[in-house]
Amino acid sequence: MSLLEARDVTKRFSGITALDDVSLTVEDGEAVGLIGPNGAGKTTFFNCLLGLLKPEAGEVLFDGKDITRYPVYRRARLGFARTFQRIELFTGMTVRDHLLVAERARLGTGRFWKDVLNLSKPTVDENERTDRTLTLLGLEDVAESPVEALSLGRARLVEVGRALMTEPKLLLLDEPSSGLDAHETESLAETLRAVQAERGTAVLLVEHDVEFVRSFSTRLSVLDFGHLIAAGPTADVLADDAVRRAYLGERV
Amino acid sequence: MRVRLIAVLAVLTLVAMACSNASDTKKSGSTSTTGGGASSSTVDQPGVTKDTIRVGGVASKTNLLNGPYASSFDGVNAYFDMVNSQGGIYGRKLQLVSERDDQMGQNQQQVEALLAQDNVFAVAPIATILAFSGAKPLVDQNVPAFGWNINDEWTGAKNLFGSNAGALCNGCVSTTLPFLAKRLGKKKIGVLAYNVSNSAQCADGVKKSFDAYPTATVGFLSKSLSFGVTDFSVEVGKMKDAGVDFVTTCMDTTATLNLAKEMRKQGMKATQYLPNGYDAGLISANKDFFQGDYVGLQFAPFQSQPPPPGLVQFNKWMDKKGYTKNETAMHGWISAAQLYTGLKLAGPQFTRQKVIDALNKLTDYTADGLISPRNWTKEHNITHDQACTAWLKVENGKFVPVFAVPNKPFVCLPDQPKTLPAKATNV
Amino acid sequence: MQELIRYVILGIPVGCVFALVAVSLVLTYKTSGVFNLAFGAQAFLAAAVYYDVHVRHGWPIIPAFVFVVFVISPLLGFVLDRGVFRYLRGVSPIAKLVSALGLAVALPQIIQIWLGPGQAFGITGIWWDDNALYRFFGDYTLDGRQMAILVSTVVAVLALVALFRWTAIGLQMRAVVESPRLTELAGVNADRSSSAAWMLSSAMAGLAGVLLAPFSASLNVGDFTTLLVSAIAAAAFARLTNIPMALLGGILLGIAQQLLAGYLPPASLIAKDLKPSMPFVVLFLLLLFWPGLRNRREVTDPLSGADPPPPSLASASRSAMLTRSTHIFGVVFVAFMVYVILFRADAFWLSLLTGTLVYSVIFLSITVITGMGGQISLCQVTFAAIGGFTTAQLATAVGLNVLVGMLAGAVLAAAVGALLAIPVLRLAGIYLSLATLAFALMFENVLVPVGWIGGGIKRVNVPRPIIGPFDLSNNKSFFVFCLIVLVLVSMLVIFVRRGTTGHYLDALRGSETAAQSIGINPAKAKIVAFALSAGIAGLGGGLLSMKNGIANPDDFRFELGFVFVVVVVSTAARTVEGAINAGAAFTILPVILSDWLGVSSTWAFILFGLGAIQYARHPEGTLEAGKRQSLAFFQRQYDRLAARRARSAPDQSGDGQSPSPSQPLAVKS
Repeated sequence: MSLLEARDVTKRFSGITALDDVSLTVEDGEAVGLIGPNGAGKTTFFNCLLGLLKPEAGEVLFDGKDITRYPVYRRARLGFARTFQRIELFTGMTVRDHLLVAERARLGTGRFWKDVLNLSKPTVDENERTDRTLTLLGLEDVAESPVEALSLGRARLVEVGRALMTEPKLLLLDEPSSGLDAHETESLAETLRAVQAERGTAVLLVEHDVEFVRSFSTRLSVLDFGHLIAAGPTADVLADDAVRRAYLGERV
Repeated sequence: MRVRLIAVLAVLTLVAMACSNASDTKKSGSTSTTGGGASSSTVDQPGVTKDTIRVGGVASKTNLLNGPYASSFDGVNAYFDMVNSQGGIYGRKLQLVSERDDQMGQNQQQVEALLAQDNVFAVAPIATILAFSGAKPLVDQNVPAFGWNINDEWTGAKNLFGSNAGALCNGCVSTTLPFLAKRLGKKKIGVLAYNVSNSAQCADGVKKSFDAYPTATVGFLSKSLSFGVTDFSVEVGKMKDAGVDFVTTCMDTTATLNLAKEMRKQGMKATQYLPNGYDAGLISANKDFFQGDYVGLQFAPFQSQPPPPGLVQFNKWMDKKGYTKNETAMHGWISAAQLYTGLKLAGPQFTRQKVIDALNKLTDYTADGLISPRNWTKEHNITHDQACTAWLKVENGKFVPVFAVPNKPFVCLPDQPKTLPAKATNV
Repeated sequence: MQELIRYVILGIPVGCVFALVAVSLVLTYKTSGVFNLAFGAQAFLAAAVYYDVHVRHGWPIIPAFVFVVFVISPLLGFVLDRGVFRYLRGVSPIAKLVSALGLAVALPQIIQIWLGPGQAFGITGIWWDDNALYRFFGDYTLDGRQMAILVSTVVAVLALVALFRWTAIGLQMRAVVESPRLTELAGVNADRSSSAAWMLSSAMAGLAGVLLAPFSASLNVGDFTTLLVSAIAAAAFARLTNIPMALLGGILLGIAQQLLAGYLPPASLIAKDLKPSMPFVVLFLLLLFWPGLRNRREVTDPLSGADPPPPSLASASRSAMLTRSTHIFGVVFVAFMVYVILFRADAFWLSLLTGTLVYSVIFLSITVITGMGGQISLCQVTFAAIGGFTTAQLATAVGLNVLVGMLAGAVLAAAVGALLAIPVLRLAGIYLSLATLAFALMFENVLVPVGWIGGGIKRVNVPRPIIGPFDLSNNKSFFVFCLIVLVLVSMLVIFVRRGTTGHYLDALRGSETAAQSIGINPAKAKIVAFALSAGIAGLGGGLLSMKNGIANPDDFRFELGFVFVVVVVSTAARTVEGAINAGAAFTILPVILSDWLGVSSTWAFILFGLGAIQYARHPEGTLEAGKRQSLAFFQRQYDRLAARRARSAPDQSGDGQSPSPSQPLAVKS
């Protein structure tokens, strides 16, 4: 049984078919890439997986459970986590608070009556876990800074950290290299590899930077005009003619 | 019956309050005896110095309806000018030291300011468009207060003296409109009101009055109009179908004007009673629409012929300062007159209590003919001896007194008689 | 059948009045992204100027009309765009709504002061004879005023539709709302087309003002406000974007009103309650069930992320030392104030400052819903009313202890808040605010007149409680009681903000998608915020009725809901001190203005309104912005002092310096 299985997902926007019978699987601990030219339907597919969009047909299974109709937050509690192409951080909150709120949201330990009685201070346990993630991502020095003060590269790491605090089984990365320079991209990839090695989290990576994908994912799927045109081991797919025409050809 | 019900409710309320909560005591506040200072005579009262008696007032200067409530201050000032020109009272001048704006309903706070900050002996005028919440501190501290009693809170308090006859009774049975309908020979009455409490209750009062004194029948009654509504086409259509020939509203002037325009449009011939219509500007600006309509007043109209002595003085002293003479100014003047009378009756050793007591002994106070005789032994209650109205008819954009005889501008009927008497008395 | 046709036809002229307003609202929203609650104020201005030149100065109709609609109104639009709304492009529609609210509070007061006291009678319309009658189908008559509205509405709608369909400027105005930056990249001068949009929509408001003025016996802003809130339903029917639909919506609203007037028995209870509140009920239902409004996210500029994020709270950017010293100063100051108030102030100031405490409690509810929840609720005054009336009725009619009554009022308000939140939370941004407005209006029209709620014409008395040896009818004891309640509620708000709920709400406000992606249930968090906020407002309402001794519907008018929001956001919506400052400003500022400075206390509303207009530029509140500046100053002085001390002790290393949070940190490689 796959960790994530999308079966024949179809999504239409006022007559235009954005996704046509797209299927994809991610196994436990695996890193899978999803590429495609602009407008291929990557983000639409991503949003269908996450529950931000409701597909017209097809289903999404997680751990064998049909979650097609689940709202976003319930999927998160099952073990989905994601980062955003355009950074989506909580302005005004410190880095540590980002991690803490993610920890609480996952466990659902927040209680209103505890707030009222001022019993909601972080516990030793919670502090330990946030410290561990801060160390893993190299964010200790900015733990108490508001996120507005961070550079784009580190802000993205905060997103990763926030996602990891939910102890996900699957991490969905939406164009993590967007807006980063080559140097930042490389250090991000390094960190992600370290995370994957340490926690064994499965990763689904949507990217346009082929080098990033090549260095990171073991399997690769390619979308073009809402159709899945190739899927398989990364090296094979990148060698495929159709893929080169549709996607890489553009870049030459 | 109604009185008994209210009494029962009041007792229940008292019992309920006594059970668990602090009763509304009279002892709070208490710090208002700071002022005064040493005076040559022995009067030691707040706001009384050796040469002045300080008075303050509160009116809805700024208000949504843009009514000229601030004019009530002019009336008081003009009256005080008159008194002071004759040497004042007990060697002191009357002075309106404070003209506060209740800013739409903030009058409780403003009254508190009058009492604690402005160091006044009495409060006049009061003219508030919304609830008179300032009644509470005035009653608590037993301060003589005078004003235009168009709010419910005036009722029952011995120290509050309204310039309208007696206490306001919104929704009570009254002989006023049945009398008018009878005099005009009208048979079918239309009543229109807003859905807000006092307007709707006023409409119920009209209905009850015609039930009690069936000089005509209510053919149409609506309490479902809303503020800002300018279209009465359906209502007028229905009134026309019902054969309504006399319309009374519990609404503002915008509504009466639009109603008049709609009646003309649909060719409905009916007379309107204009509850807030004693406004020369309004009437002359819309003379075609209010032609033949009626206004009832509780003071002698400016058009009275011959003018009663009080009106002569009013005109003289208002003109001296170039004040605008209108309804609210008149209520201010009457308020000041009542205060002056109270002071005079209380004697040189006057106190707040003496002023209140002296006024409450009066049985036929008329403010020099400006109002119908007041019996202050009874007027604080909602029932009194008689109900008097000065009637005016709109003719060519002007007000013309009707049903009056010379020197007797008021038409009086007993208050809530069993049946409507055949003849009214002129006073 | 004949009757039905009759009511439908009679509804059309009424509907045109609504349509005129609705079309203007849609126009403004479409071209500027502002839901213009200041429309009534703009129309009032036009009507006032028209009155001044036409009636006071005797200009003929045509020059007066041209001057008002084509000169003064566009000029106002231009000034508003240049002075206020130009800076709001790309900010959230909520921020724009607040600015419009500020304008709605301030502008009428300014006009009133210009207009002076006295009534403005006898405004004649633009038709050659207002009172000329025109017969249609033999049985239906319109007068000149109605003809003017009918013709102008149709002409305006046709012109606007043509403008948007066929002209470049029309397209540009729409594009600028969607994304000013993208439009500029496409070579359009966004400044110019935004000015054009405001001038156009202001001219439309001016037209409405001139056309509607002859319907009032004397000019007053209340009539325009009432009309505005009634017409919102028609604008919602048009999904705030479709001008012909707004026309249709207005006409349907007019017909519905005439049908109710025609078929409901006029004296019945249902007619009394339902007919006047029909537009608000319709608005509420439309917001909940009209497809296209549900779940609608407002347009956001895809490039708006390039804007700097809102600054964090001033208190977050100061050092511990400075924090401690300000706290000590604060405690000493408050203790001193309490001493002065209890032992030195006269009865008036005692009562006024008790009012400050009470309104601070009510305003803390806005700290919760707006400062923490990021929503603009226009019905906080309604929750306060629920608390006030419940306290009064339970204490007076039922005979419960008034403290129990007050707590019951708070609980009931919280329950109503939660119930209201459930359907309303599917709406986003301004639609949620409009739904709260509809709720406030329904409450005021239907429930307040009911005897066992609002008390009818007899205001319900509210006693003061006795707690042990303390009889709170003593005003000093009551002041202390209010102070204790305020401290408790402040602590509650601070704890909740620091706690998980506060963090969840911060997260949701920062990014709802991201918050959901980590497992936060947005509906639940917001329902909690709504309920908490409503409960606090209810408690404050109970306290207010206790202070005044009566539960007075005048203290809970829906327009005050506007003022409350405006006062709080113009001081500081996100902090507890902000709410208390707002309470102080709301109660004390009018007194300072009128008693000490001798100017009209309405200037207070003008100041609040102008402060709220700044909301988009200083979303943390104008006072908070000032506080940030002064704190930064003190912090600089403090740092300089510390640096000097460090220099004088050269053996200490200077590495304790933490990086200033306003400086982006270098990327760690």
